[in-house]
Amino acid sequence: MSPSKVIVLLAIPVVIIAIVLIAGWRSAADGGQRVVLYCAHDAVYAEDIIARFEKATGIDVAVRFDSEATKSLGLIRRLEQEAAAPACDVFWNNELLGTQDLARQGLLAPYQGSGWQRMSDAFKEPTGLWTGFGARMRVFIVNTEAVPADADVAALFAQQPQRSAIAKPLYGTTLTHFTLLWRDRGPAGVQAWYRDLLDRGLRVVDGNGRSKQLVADGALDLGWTDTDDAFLALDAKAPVRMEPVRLDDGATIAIPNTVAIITGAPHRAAAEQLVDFLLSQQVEVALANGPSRQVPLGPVDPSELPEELRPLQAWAAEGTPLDGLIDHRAACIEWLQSEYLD
Amino acid sequence: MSALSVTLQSGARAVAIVAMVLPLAAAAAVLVRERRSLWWPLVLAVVFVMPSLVVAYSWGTVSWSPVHSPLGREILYLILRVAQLLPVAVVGLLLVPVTAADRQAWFQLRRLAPHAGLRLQLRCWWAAYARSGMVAAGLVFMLAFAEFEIASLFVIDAWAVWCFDALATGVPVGSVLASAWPGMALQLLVVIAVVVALRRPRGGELGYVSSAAWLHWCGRLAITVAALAVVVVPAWVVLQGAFGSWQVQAVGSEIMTSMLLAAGVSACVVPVVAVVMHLPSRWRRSVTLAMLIPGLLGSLGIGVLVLQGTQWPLLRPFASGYAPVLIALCLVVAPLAAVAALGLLRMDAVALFQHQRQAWGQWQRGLRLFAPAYAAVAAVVFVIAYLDLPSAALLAPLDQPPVTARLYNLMHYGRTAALSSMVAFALLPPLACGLLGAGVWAAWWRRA
Repeated sequence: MSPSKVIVLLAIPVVIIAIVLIAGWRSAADGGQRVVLYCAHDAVYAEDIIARFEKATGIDVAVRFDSEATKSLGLIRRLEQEAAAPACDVFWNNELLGTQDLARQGLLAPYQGSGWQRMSDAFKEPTGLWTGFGARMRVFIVNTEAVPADADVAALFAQQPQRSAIAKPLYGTTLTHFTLLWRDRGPAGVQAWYRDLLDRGLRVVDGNGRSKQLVADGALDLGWTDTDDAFLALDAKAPVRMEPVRLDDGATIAIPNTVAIITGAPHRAAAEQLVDFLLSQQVEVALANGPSRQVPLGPVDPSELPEELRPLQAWAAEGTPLDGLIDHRAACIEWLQSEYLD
Repeated sequence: MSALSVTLQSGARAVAIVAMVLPLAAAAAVLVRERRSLWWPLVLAVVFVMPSLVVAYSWGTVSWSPVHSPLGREILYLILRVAQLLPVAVVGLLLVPVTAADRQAWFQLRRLAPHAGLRLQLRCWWAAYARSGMVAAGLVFMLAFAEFEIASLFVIDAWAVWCFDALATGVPVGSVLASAWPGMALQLLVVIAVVVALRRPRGGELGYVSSAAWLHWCGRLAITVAALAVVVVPAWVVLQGAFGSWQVQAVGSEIMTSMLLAAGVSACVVPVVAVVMHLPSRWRRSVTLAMLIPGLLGSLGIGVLVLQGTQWPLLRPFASGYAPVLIALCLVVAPLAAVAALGLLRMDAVALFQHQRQAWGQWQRGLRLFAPAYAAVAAVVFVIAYLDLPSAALLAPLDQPPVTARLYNLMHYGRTAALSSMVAFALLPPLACGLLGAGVWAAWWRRA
């Protein structure tokens, strides 16, 4: 092959990469009225909310959604890596502990806007580093054809783990669940309990969605999942019901969405508008009426909420406090790493 | 489970897959080679382009309880991987031409000199059978060892899942790479073995001894079962109910993004591969090996590293566009592109023309000779880049997610008619490209 042909062939990738580099640089340099949102909440639920904000304010929202494929790695790791030069303005997380971890690293900026003021103290950081809204509950999803209505589901879970499923506890809301057990039972208690369940055949699956699906299909009798997954099965007319998972003291587990402004956010003013919007009554009502039926944490007009949300509101009121969990989470992850990685 | 033990477990599983797939692939390769029909290569191409995430999703929704026991999952995983990797093994076996002279030499050696020296026996056995078997086994091993999507969904203890879990739980990238080195070293050894086995044969009369009819039937059976497991059942599970609810607009922009990316990756990788393949042999082997090494990290590892790279102050302004994902996908597909090009250019049809040295110096003739091979490589690259999930999901530009990430997320909510229709439309581009590539290659090869 002659040198001229080699040059022609090698010029093709060089030109393509140069074009995309320049396009990326121009897109980054483009100012405009916009805000960059990293959203760990499921796209199918969040897109409608974001569209409402864009319509109401005229501000363009550039969104990066999390992926089930990359779990929290996608956004939390990215925010950590971008700490020196943040590209993101607002982080909408679908759980709390990851947000608390970012706050501890100094990656979140305080903001006490109208939304922060609307929420009760139990679901916000005192200085405004983050604010919670729209919670999901941890529940048992139970196959009604396999388990009688009056059965003690928690006892059944302990007695027949081979007919029960949980998601791999390394990430997501199952990690939060394990962290709470770690806090309440101590390291030895959780480790012995989990080892015993595994030895007796507990089915560990890849996510809460799979846990829900196996129970809905009748492959298993019950499993841990979140209310948004359980409602998907109920809406699909699967033979299931849900009951709240209770900790040893009887408290339930309500896991709120959290929203925070990133330290050094490039579009701070627009970010504040977006945070206030997400924490508004309008958004909490929309999330409550959506397929995921998230429980409002701020004051809302009860007549605007769906009937099936009433029991969830009562369960959420019995929720265990989620503050002070960061150290427990770190220790729990360390143990889980030793279980799964060492 | 430690990195070393998970590496050994994944290695043993990959060896088991190789052991299961090779006899089936041998029969299928005989069928493809001797029948010279377009039908079987096209069926194999469809099996190849069926994304792992669709296969995993559809089989993961089977409600029969034993399938979800640890043993049941392991068995189902092995069966699915054997079926998925059948086309790769077939291509691997076809890549290295076995000449009639080689077969005759082995046959005559055993007949006339059964007590010949070990070295001579090994040399004849290598030329007659082992060389092509090693290429196929190496390719299957690499793909079986580093598989992530199905292993993750089935909660299988696999090397790639171990790396993912370590990264997802906050272990620094450097520590993960340091711990994961046994897996990478193992893959590197296999890569070297494949490259060595792909060296150009010493010539000789080309041709094949016709095989028995029962082998053809075995080949038909193997391909049919693989198509049932990887194409028909997943397609039926995913697409049932899709008719009447076509919602292509819901993923139209994502499909365009993925097509654009995959086309860009093809346009970047194939010319480079073409240049490398025409380097002098001593350079070609070194550069090919260098191209293969980053791919050993797997798509997720490459994605994380490129993500870290974009945080360097000099590169930060370019981080928000397509460049990071384009570069990552080029690194992801480079190993298979290089191996495919090495193999295709060593196939018997090309080997015939390699005697005509003047062809190398004549652009038009060279293009006519090798363009179909590079078109097939471009199709393979397009399909792999289009269907990639971890790197594309991590690095895609703002507001422009790849279609695989979008579908993977939607699959989380269970089967719906709308989702099924989206999956159907999303599969059309890689399916068309895969069939086109397989068709061009098969027609060219049959004519040759």
